[in-house]
Amino acid sequence: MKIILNRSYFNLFLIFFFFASVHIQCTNGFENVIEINEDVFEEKIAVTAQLYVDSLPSITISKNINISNNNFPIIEDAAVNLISNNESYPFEFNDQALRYEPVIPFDLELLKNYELQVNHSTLGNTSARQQLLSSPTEIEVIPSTSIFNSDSSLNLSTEFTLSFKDPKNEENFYIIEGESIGKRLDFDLNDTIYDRRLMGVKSSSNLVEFKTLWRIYLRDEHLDGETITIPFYCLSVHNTAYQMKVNLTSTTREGYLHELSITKYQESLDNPFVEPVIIFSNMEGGLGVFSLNSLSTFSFP
Amino acid sequence: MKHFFLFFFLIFSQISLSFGQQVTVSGYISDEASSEKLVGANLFELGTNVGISSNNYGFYSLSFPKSSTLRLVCSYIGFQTDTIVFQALNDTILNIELSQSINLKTVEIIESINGRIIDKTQLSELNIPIAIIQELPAILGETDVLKVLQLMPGVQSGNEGFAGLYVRGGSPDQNLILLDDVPVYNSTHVLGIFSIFNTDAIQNVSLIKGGFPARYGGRLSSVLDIKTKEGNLKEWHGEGGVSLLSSKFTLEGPLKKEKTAVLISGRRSYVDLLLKPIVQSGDVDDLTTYFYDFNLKIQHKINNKHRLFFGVYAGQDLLNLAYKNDNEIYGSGINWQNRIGSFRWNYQINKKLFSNTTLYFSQYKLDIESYFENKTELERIKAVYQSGIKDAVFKVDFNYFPTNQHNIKFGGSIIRHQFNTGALARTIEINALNQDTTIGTTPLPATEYYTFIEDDFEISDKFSANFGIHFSGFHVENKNYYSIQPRVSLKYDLAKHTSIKAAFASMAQYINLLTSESLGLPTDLWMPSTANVLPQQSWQAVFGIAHARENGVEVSIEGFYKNLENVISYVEGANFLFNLDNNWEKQITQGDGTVYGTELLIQKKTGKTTGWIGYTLSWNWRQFDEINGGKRFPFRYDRRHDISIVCSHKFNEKITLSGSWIYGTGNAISVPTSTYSSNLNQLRTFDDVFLPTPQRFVIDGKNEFRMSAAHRLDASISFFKKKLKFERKWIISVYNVYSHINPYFAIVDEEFKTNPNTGLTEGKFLLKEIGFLPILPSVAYHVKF
Repeated sequence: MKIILNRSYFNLFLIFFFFASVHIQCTNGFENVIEINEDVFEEKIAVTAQLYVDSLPSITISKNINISNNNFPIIEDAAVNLISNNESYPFEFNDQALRYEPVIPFDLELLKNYELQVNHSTLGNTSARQQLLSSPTEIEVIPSTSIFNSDSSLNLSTEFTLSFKDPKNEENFYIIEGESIGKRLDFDLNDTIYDRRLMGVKSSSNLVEFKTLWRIYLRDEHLDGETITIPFYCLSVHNTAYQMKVNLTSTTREGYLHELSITKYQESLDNPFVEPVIIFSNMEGGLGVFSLNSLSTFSFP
Repeated sequence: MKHFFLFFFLIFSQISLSFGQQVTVSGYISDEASSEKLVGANLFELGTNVGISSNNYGFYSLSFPKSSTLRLVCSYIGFQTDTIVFQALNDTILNIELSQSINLKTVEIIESINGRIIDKTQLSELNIPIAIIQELPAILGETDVLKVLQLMPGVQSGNEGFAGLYVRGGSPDQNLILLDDVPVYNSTHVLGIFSIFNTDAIQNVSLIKGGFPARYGGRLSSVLDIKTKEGNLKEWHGEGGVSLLSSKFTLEGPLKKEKTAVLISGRRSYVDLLLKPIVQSGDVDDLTTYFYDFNLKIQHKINNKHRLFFGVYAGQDLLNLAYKNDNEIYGSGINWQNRIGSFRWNYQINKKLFSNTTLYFSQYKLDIESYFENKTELERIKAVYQSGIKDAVFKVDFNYFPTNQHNIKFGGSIIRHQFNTGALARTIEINALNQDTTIGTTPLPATEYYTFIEDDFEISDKFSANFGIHFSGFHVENKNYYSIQPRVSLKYDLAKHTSIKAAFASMAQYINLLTSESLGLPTDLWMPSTANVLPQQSWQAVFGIAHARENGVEVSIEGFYKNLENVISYVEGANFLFNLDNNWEKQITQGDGTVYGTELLIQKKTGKTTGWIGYTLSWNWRQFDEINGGKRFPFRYDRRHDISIVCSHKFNEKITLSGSWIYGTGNAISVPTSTYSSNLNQLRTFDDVFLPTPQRFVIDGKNEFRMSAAHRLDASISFFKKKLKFERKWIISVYNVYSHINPYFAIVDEEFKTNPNTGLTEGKFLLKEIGFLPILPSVAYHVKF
């Protein structure tokens, strides 16, 4: 205590203390990388089975891995079956497409219940049930402004009005999306490259439940069986675009919640003001989604 | 409920029983040097052991048989115990003045017979003397009431370094923070790091965590009651201090001796003054970052029965950053402020009845501003986001002392709230074309009212109780809500030094703070219950054992169970600040919560070495239908273990060494721990924002991941010296002595590295914890005259 009280010793101590603390600060830094051990999370089968009416059903099966890992594993040896009314539609792995496709092609049938079962020897089993809902009818997409500019190029900020009749006595969910298709010449490959870009979509309609830069989400909560009309405009910065497309996806509750949670998650990534989002899954015992959808696409021109 | 009212009736009917010829001794207990009223001072009669504590205004009233010889012993923390002997012939007004202890300094002043834990019926109450608060180590030497309270069991800080209080698992909006009986809506400065309470102006601090007396209501989790000094009625005194962050001063004295006194206190930070010359040399046009507090209190003693008090508090934080180049200036700023004004009238109606009538106004306001100006193009764009709450209140409460066994409090209040739930004003001026727009919600008025009655009842020598009932209501948007809240606290003395206690309290809360779990900023919004948003409700049961030893060591163990209903949270993905065109009610959801645990507190109150050890073992759950798939999840600040060790050693009259060490289980957060791809053909396309990414991040569940545990050692040494006309104190503090970086939040960050084999740049996602506060030495100077 006497040493501390001695003024010169004390001053020296303070100077030493100041530099020592600066040194410690610089050495330690302010961030700490947390190593995610494999035992922090449970390994599960990850299923992406967003099946569409009138198109070849295909299912992606993988498993979850450490977030710092770049190599997504391909699960080739899962037993995949779609079951409806005691009928089983087995799927097999297509090593070109890296997806599971039906052994025998089949069509999804309206208002039928389906159960997707995925079994794997080490990752366990997962399953989910869905009913194929009716598709909307009387769908119309009408541009409110010209789709061409005065120099005949595509007007990439065209306004549209989408209207359709919602199926009655069903809980229906819709996603509206726009895309532009571009075409350019690749001089290295000496070939024409087609590329697809999402277009921004924006609507101020009260019917919209959630909107992002790229998508509009709505449900028929108070409009069951009615004609739904949504005005919106698309916006693209695709300078080689020659065609615009408007997509209306009709999906199930689970498919809608899954897509909505992904959208919200993407939005939350760079925004500290947004609440954390857990990606919705309806795969019991696994990850991912099984949903039944119908897609209506309108091309301009 | 019927039995409860019956019980109440029996208690009050007992009051009317006659005790024969009685005389009443009543009056105020105050500080001899300043006439400052002493709250909670102890007064007891040696022969009969009849005793009482002075109320919140220093008033007491006791009854004795006529003609008896009384030996009244009066004591209070830090004051010399006084004994008054006289014969009780008539009703007597006895104003007692205690003189401050000469030899008792700093931490030793808590040695007192006053306020022993085993003597109080009230459970879960913490009283920390201001002297202790001023001794303990603090960030940048800025002593802080809230930070010291965080060292007590059952009270958590949320994030390290922040002054927010999480009491028994409740969120910060569930704390009723009263500054001289007036609620404060934002109690922090510097984005939540420091509290708004200037310790030089404070007289008394009390925190109740459970077993709430009926006089308190409107919040679910705690009552923090802070009383400021009333001003010295006898002579002028002052104190002030300088720390690395701010300077402060307090001046108090009589405008008219023994009649009118004034207290003025101010504090201002000066980081901006130090940084301004440095930052203005570059592109930065303006850096304004400061906070200030101002307290004014005037008391006027009309006569022995009537006293008037007028109080003002004003505090503000401003953070403004602007850049400039040849033609353009652009910047943004955040500004939040509290304004409080109160007028209080104390009236001693008769020897047994005392009243306190208060009129007050309280306002909290937040502005976030963003602007751009181009001088050559004559463009000016400005956006201001505003939210806040205003209260105008009338309150009256009475204190009635019918017999020595009963201390009855009753009263009521009506509060007119006005909520500004968030509005965005845009001004656009381009080439003399002006456009002003305001979007967002319009102000929302609401009326809250309550009435209460409680009785502190000495049932027998060993058994005491506090029974009460609190009735409250809320009117908003043509909707009425009501709540009847019974309150009971019981104490039974098992032995001379040991008592057991139990309490039950039901609470209701009609105003809510929407706070982001991802970031706790003053952007948090105060919202009322509405036709669609139900009031929050809770009940809490507490059981405890308290033991006090002769050597001044006190031990208490309390177990509690708290049930929360209709608590509020943002829905997943809600983004309040930038979605003003959406209805705020759609962005929130209501659910339930359960908190339970055990708290241990061992305090040593006497001798050269004093301090406490606090340990809390608790569980804190929430359940919302719309969050986490409806499954129960841990609250963000669910902290299984929370330990604090606080120690102070006085070497001599000149030197005191203090230290504190804390440990807390890591916060529960929602971060992805694994990932998968929904399209194995389209591998890493994360950079292409024009296509949907196939990568999916997996968050196992809401708040399933635990951040690293937080621990920290702080230390300080104080050097006192008494000069001829003043006392001075140097305080050297070290915050986070071993510089352990405690995490505030965790993020998933992508780091890019070149693969030596392929030459390609590859991204890799990493989970990182981010911390802010390393070792921070500081020095502060304090002077008192």
